[in-house]
Amino acid sequence: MPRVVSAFDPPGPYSRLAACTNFSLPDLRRAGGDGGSFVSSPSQVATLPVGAVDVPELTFPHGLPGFPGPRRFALVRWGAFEGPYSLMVDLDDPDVRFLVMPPYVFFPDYVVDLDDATAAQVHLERAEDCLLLVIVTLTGRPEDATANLLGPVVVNLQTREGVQAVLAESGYSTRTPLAPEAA
Amino acid sequence: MLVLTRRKNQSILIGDQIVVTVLEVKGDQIRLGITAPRDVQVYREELLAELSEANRSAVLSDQAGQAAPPAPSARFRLQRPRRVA
Repeated sequence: MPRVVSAFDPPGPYSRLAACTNFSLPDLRRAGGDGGSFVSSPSQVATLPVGAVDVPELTFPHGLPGFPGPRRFALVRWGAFEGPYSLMVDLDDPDVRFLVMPPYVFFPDYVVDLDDATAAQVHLERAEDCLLLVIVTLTGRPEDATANLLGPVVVNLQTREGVQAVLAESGYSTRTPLAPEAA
Repeated sequence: MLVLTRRKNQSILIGDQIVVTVLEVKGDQIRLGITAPRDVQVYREELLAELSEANRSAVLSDQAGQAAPPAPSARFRLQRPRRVA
């Protein structure tokens, strides 16, 4: 049944996947079978022998806005073991690396109402299969780092397919300051 | 580019499943109604342009100029997911 969307009206919450709130970061690395692929800095990732290391691989069938797909990304923890940050490294173009984190770390009230079309792109049918990440943009100062809450990365943990959702009409920004303690 | 003239309440069909209807014309603003299958995503163009730009500027660089991200506060517990009904 077609959904009626007026380009100037808020699309409203959707049916099956309202409130995608699985913010935990499972140890995909272990599931990927490799125990020694930790990296601790962006420059180390650049030297990873792509294809030689068994790291969890996410497939973005349609890429991301600005990075048309299909694309394959490795998801590797970044920094301290208990830290929230991970890197998404393009396996075919290692210069393309994104810093990602579960949004609840800095945005505990952040909730995503995922539309059906986006969910269908990664064959996501249950909210509990959904891993939600946001892309962090770094600037010159740590306190100026921002997160893209408008376009969270949605991963189907079962199929390991990913998509960048577009939360139109949500009011979220692509550059929300992390501002850890200032707020 | 195909150019069509439409009046209020007139529509165009794109393929056999997408209908775009002019709902209201007010000054230089036009309200459009779009009927499309659920698997067709409909976005304002500038929204995707904004995301493209945000993604490009988020790519990590080896050059100096990108400071490490801030550490989360002590409230943060990685292994304790929040679930909201």
